[in-house]
Amino acid sequence: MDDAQAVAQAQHAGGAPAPDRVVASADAVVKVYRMPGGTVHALRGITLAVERGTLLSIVGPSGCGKSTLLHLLGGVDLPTAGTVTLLGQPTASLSDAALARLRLRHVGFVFQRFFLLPMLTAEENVALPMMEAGVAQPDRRRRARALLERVGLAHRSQHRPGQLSGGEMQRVAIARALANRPALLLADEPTGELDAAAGWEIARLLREISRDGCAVVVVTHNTELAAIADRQVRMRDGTIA
Amino acid sequence: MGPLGFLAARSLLRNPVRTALVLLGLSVTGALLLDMTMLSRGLEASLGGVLGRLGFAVRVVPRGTLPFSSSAEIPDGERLAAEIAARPEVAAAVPVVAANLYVRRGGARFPSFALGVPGGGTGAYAVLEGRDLPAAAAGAGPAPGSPPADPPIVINRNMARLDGVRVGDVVVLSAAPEPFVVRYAAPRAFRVVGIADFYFDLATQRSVALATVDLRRLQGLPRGAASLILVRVTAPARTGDLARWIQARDPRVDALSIQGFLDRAAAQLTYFRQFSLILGTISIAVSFLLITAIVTLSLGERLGEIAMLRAVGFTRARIASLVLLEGLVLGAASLPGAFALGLLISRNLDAILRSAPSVPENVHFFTLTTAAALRTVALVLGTGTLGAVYPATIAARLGVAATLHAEVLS
Ligand SMILES: Nc1ncnc2c1ncn2[C@@H]1O[C@H](COP(=O)(O)OP(=O)(O)OP(=O)(O)O)[C@@H](O)[C@H]1O
Ligand SMILES: [Mg+2]
Repeated sequence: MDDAQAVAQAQHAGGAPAPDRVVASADAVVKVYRMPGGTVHALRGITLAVERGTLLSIVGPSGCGKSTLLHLLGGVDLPTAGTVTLLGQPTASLSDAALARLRLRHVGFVFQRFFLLPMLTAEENVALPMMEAGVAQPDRRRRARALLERVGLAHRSQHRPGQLSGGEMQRVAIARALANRPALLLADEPTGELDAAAGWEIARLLREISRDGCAVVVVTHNTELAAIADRQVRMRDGTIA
Repeated sequence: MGPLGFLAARSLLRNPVRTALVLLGLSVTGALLLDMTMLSRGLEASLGGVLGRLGFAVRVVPRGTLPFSSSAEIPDGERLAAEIAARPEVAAAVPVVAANLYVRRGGARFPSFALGVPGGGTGAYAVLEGRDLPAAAAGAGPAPGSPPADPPIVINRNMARLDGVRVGDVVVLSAAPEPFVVRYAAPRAFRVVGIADFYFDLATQRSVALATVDLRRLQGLPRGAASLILVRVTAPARTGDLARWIQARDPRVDALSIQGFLDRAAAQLTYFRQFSLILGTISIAVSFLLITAIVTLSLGERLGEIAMLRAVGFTRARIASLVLLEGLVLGAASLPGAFALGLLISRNLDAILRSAPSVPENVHFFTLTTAAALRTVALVLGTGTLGAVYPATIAARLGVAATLHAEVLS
């Protein structure tokens, strides 16, 4: 940890995040789902900043709004009230297409269920966001291989998801999330479908990624993963406890 | 290839057995569509092909008729032909006379179509064996003083095949069925000099070609009229002008270009087009529904993946394009099967239709023209794409967060 990081960390401990380190933030964010059966207040005024180089874990009982918060921070959904700022831009002010472009360039998602495309090889799955971003074939191939090597799957690059274990699939999914060098990596229960050993692998990987400067937010029920985070946010009933 | 084409093509591999079954279904409907497209204008295309090979750019017929479609004649056809032939853009104008004759050979007697031509070398038929009639000047009969020989005729392949007539044989022709022979239609012996393809013969039709003088003598009729004038031009670009000139010169005739001929023939063949339109539309509708069903079904199985793609940064428009492309790819993948099957079926259907009476031998009902092939390809690809419109709309409207939420619960 260099001096600047140390200072930032110290400031953070005092409560005020350094503005130039903030990748995404929520300010008095409210999310309400209105459905025929009734209204659900998923988030009831959340204020939170996510900083570069930090692994932030969000924990809390089921239904307290963890995933909802993650979706808002990543710009796949918009708040009912309050402001979510992603890379300096309020998400509500952006068009759907502009938000998609922002996600493509700067946000990586990791899902509990991996969502790898079954008819693509591991390497092709990793290369997919780069293809969409218009990265040239030789470059994306090189980078996809490097990323697979980083998650320890260089030897499985030509395998389809169906030929991989759950832990391996999640590592491929993490490599895919890193494809376009995101500033923000959002993981929703990435170890939810994995055993303890595979879960630990993923936890270690996310920690490394944050050390490399990415802001990592992980929603988890996994106490080991929550414990290695730089910062832990505990939620209850749509608020930060 | 962009990621969409890549993903759409790979989507065929997602469920190979299901894809194979769907492609089989689409091949069948595509084959039907191809056949109907081939049938729609097949007769015209086939007729046009034969007419093109004959090389006569203009046909002059009695007003409102098609060549040989009636017994109507152009009263002073031979003179009109001479006037047409005198024009600079005309290479030849051949007045021909069509008639029905009776052929007697040994004890057998059968009706035959007869084509009266000024002489050999007109191109109204193609000699396959032996030789043609003598050129026009010599067609008038034996030179004075020499013993009267049997005048020459050329017969068609059917007569050679069905009746065993050979080059060098003598056959007797008459204008009326015996025993109703009248003085002016006395039977006369002819010597077969050649065997020819008459282009528009029916499957079992007998045809002969002979000099118009000989034909008129058999009929007991004076010369001068013609059933048809075949015009060969030197300047194809001026065909339209020539046709207009002929029409103006004699209002009792129509001067038909090849296209004019085809249009007039097509007007009598609208039932083929209606038939193919109906069946073609049905096949398109079935393809459309098949693609809509399969793409919608497959989409429902991977909403999570679609939500993932949206989260990764694919816009709604890109997702919609991806799903449309999947429909397009399904259509494209069905094309080889559709063409293979379609050609096989069309060959069989063509044989069935051609076995009907009064179908010329050289004419086909199903013709694979470039236009028909391109039209089928365009329709199949268009149907594939349109078939995916409904699922594409669903995919584009998908709420990312809501889908991810639902996927975790399922
Ligand atoms: N798209 C949605 N439509 C309606 N209600 C939703 C939607 N997404 C979430 N909710 C509701 O909002 C509340 C918070 O949901 P959320 O998924 O954020 O909880 P969570 O903390 O992630 O729970 P879990 O730990 O079980 O994943 C829940 O009551 C949930 O039913
Ligand atoms: Mg959740």
